Amino acid sequence: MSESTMSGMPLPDPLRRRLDTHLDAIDRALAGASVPLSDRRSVTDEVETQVRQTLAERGEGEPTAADLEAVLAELDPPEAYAESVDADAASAAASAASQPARLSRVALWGLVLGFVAPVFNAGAWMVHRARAAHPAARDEFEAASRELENGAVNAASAAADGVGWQTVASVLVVLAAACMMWMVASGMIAAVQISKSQGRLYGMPLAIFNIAFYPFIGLLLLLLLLLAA
Amino acid sequence: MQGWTAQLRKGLVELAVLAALRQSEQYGYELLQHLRTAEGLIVTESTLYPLLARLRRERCVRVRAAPSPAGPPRRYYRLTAAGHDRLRAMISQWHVIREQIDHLLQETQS
Repeated sequence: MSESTMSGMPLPDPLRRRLDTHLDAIDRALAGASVPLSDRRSVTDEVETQVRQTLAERGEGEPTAADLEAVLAELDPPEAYAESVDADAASAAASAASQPARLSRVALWGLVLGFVAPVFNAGAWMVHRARAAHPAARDEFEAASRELENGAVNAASAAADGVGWQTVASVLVVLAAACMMWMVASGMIAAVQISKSQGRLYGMPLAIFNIAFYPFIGLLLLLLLLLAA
Repeated sequence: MQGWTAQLRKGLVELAVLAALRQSEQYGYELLQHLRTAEGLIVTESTLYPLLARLRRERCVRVRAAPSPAGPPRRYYRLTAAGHDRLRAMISQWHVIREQIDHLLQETQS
């Protein structure tokens, strides 16, 4: 099965085929118990390591078919793996069911960041107000804008003089928008996680609130604008 | 009676595996031989290897491959922080259950 993973002395072909048959039977039994491919590969690699080490411990020289059969006879039959996985899955499910349900962290973080958005918006507004209320800064900004419009060469100095105010305000607005979008996205992610958690997660009303809050505010503002117009 | 004993032993395998890996990393067959020495705990490859694969998937153990003198590389298992957390939780549960059962048995005897 895993010829590519072999690093030690290779087995003679007939023994290799016999071992592969055994490993394939284990793989089929595990596949029948819905075990993921990566887990099946991990199990068969372990069984191969065990067989090869046991063969090596049995004596010097090349192992014979009889040696391999003797080693395989000592192992659990392939169907035992499926039974063991079923029992393990039942035990894991019982263990998960006994865990207390917890609030979805994604929904909680969405709510927190969603309500940080107005803080960024307020910050942007305050920067805008401060610039408007500061005549020197406003004049510098307007002068810088004029220089830029007139094709003045010293664009860097213009930027340093006036554009800083705008940059700060723009960054704050972008952060606010990102927080709002994250609130909606987190609501969607949390709703999916909660519905698939089989009772281990709760907070569906919070997830729905996260999804609906800003779209609802947006619609409300749009309606008000239309009514005002 | 045999069914009850088998269920009890199976339920303890995960705790035994995590406890065995607490001190040092071990490869699969080495861990199997180690657990076989524990009297009363029947662990076979069909129980251990799927359990190790699940613990890896659940990020309770980390796997490191290293060359072997015989055959394919050995896969060494080591507990992760999540594995240590799970072990602590299981040990805590184990103590609670054992104390309760001991208490019940003492009441019955007296």
